Amino acid sequence: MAWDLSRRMFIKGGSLVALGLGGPASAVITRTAQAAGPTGSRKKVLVHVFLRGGVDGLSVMVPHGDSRYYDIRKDIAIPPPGKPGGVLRLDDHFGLHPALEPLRSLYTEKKMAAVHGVGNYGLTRSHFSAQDFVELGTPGDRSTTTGTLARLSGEVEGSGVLKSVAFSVQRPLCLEGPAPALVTPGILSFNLGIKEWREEAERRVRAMYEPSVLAPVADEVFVAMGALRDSSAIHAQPRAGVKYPDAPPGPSLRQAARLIEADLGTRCIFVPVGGRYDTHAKQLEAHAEEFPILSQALAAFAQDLGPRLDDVLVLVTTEFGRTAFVNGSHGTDHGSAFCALVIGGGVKGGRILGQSPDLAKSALYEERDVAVTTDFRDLYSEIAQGHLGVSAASKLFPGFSPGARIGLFS
Amino acid sequence: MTGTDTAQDPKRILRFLNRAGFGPGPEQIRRVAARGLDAYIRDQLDAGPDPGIEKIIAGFGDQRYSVMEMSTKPTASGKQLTPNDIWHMLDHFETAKLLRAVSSSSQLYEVLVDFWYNHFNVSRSVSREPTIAYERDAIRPHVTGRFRDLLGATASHPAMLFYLDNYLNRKDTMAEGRLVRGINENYGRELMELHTLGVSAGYTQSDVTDAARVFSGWGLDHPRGELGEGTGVFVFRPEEHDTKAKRVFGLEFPAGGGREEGEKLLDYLAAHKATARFISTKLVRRFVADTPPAALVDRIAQVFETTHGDLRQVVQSLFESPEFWAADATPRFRTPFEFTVACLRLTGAIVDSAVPGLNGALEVMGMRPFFCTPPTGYSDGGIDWLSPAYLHRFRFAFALAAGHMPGVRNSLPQVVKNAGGDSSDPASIASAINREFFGGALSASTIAAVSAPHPGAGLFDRVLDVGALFTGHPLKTDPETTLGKVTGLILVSPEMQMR
Repeated sequence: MAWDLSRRMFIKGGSLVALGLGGPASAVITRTAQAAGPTGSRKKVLVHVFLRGGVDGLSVMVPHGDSRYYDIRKDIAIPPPGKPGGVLRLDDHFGLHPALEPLRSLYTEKKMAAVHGVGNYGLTRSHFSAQDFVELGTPGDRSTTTGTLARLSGEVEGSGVLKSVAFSVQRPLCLEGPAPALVTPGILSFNLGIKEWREEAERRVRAMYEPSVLAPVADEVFVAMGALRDSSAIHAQPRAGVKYPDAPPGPSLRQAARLIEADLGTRCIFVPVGGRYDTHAKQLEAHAEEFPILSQALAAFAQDLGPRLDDVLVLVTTEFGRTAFVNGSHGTDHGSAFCALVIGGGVKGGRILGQSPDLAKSALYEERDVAVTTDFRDLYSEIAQGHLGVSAASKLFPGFSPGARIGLFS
Repeated sequence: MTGTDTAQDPKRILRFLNRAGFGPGPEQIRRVAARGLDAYIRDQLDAGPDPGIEKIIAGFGDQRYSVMEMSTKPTASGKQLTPNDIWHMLDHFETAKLLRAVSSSSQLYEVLVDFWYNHFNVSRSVSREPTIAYERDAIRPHVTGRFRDLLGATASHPAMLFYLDNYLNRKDTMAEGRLVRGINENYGRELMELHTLGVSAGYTQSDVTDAARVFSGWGLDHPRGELGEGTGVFVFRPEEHDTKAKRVFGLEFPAGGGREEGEKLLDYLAAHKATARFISTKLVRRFVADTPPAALVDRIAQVFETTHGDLRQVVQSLFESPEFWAADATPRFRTPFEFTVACLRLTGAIVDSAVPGLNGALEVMGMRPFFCTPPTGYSDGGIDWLSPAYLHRFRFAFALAAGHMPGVRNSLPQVVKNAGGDSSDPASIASAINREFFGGALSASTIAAVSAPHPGAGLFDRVLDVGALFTGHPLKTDPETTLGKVTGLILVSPEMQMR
């Protein structure tokens, strides 16, 4: 009677006794929450902002120098630089979407690079499968029991409940696995909401959970609550003059900055964002709404961290890009390659890396999508090595043969 | 089904109440034993909506409007709905969901509504007030009927046509050499991936595109925000339908077809073996185990096929399976919604309003009804919900037992008294609740932790409203009772997280 908790919480393959219904806790539960406390040193941190919905890469880093872009995008093309609402020119070929203006200075100060053509060769066009495969790091194989970020976190020095944090309600697939992770929509309200009685309430709840197979969950809750309660940096305000947007991912990045400054052992932060990125219809309107919030949040985060941004790398990706051609609803459908953004962390920015999208119909994947030219696992591996010093790509992506280097750090 | 010797067995009764319902309510185990479990199961399979609860909901006065009335047209009685009316209507809709789950005597019916709505998920944040009509007209009437009827009702409902963009799905039309309108494949894809065949069935991109072409022209009459005024109801527009030949997962459509192509494809998908397997797997997961036993899935899929998708018989066959009743079955972890409703049932709660209060609690637990954005619906794998966000279960449980949930009246003193407990004695409360709701299965450590004396008043100095984050309505501080404290701890206990 195996209680199949392995997917989420506990080591796999163990046979667990029925929960709390009289049976003793199984010895196979090895996961215990370790005390989190200030580590006293400034460790490197990875922040992965994951835009769910499939963001159109051609709208992020616009190939305004390619006339085919205007041929295929027609009425949803961003006007050339200099025109009203036009592209923010970065070079002869590329420019930023005008609603991403707050990112321009990060680019010109060489703190941000873009990578075009990222994705997975022949990956599904289902959002849910594509997100799952990106998060598991094993395209086409759902049987993987650990997530990419969890595996990466496992290779990085350090431990504790707060080592991996996701600003989410549900544990994301990328943090799947036996390692603990704090998954919460907000760190400031992460408490029981009880004042004077708190200690006794905690004692009694822990006594109930200790012998149950849910003990690790309760442990995590209490350890995380304590560490967050006791840290003054967690409760501090952003740097003077920094203003985060109230809409996602503003609040999450604002809290991520506190978490980084609190030095509670956090190394990997996952910020999923569910905006209007699935732009099957009215793409211009959707981006005009989402891009300002996203870019303001990212710029505020960089400004808030100040010099600490050298230790923090922000990776912005999505599950797939979109069709090259405009569809019949002033939008684009599910496609293949997207454009990733990489900010901070010692990245040699001010460059657009990867292969420039070839928009000739014959060069498009299945004659419809911007083709993938950089496997997302290569991007991830290069960041793992260049930023976090984790070189074991084979552990991050079992069975994957790395391709050409992108050159983020060189 | 269960045999007379087991018809009074509290453990079996509890199994049924926990898995085919939202958990036991006060005195329910005793009442089912008196009726006999077999008879109770038949009652549940036959039951439609609970008339008493439906009467309360009818009393809200705003849950029966048609999609046309919700749009720009005056209602049948000549009233023009204002934005304020719409907000009340949506609040009442959320209350109705909680009220039915907590208080309906037709527990299985409401569990099935919950299951099928989630299967054919539509998000209120996208489809807005037509979501009310969607649950009412496309889901609720069909949950013990035929799968094909359910599928057809969802396919042509305005809430679904809007949510998955099919209202924009038209044959490719060129003007001056450029595409001005065209195929939108969102619904065609999810129809196969999520509603029928499942993602692993082996269909291709070309099947998806052709499925979308089959549904081209299935639109809305002047959809909101698109063409201004209109009724917002389903219309088929022959001129927008792609009449070329198509082929979807082996099914041929000769050129020249019309609306009937959609019905033909739905017939085909509803009857497909892959659909029977996909639906059966999901049902077994909901009713039996996180990891569905293959042999059981095979048998249920067989019933699905031979009965042509008769959902009542499919569900009945689940209750006839030994796997459902297995004494050593591993417990399933409750989703946040299941946990919330089970707590409300245990405390004998009456839900006057889900807003503000329960809606915020469910939001922070991650499972506010009708607000799941992706078309997958909320995860039914209870273990998918294990994370430190678990904390919010604690907060909700303490607030509820302390009588601090806005919009909710609990009847704990009466519940415990009727169960033979003494509300001033922690051990007596624990023992009464253990008998009444857990069949005596609370662990020794839980009983010890909750039964230890609770000296003095003000034990709960202050329990903040778990919904306050969203509603801005923090809870009042009240003097606390032993009853509230002990029950709060029991609701927090590991055993309460399982069904």
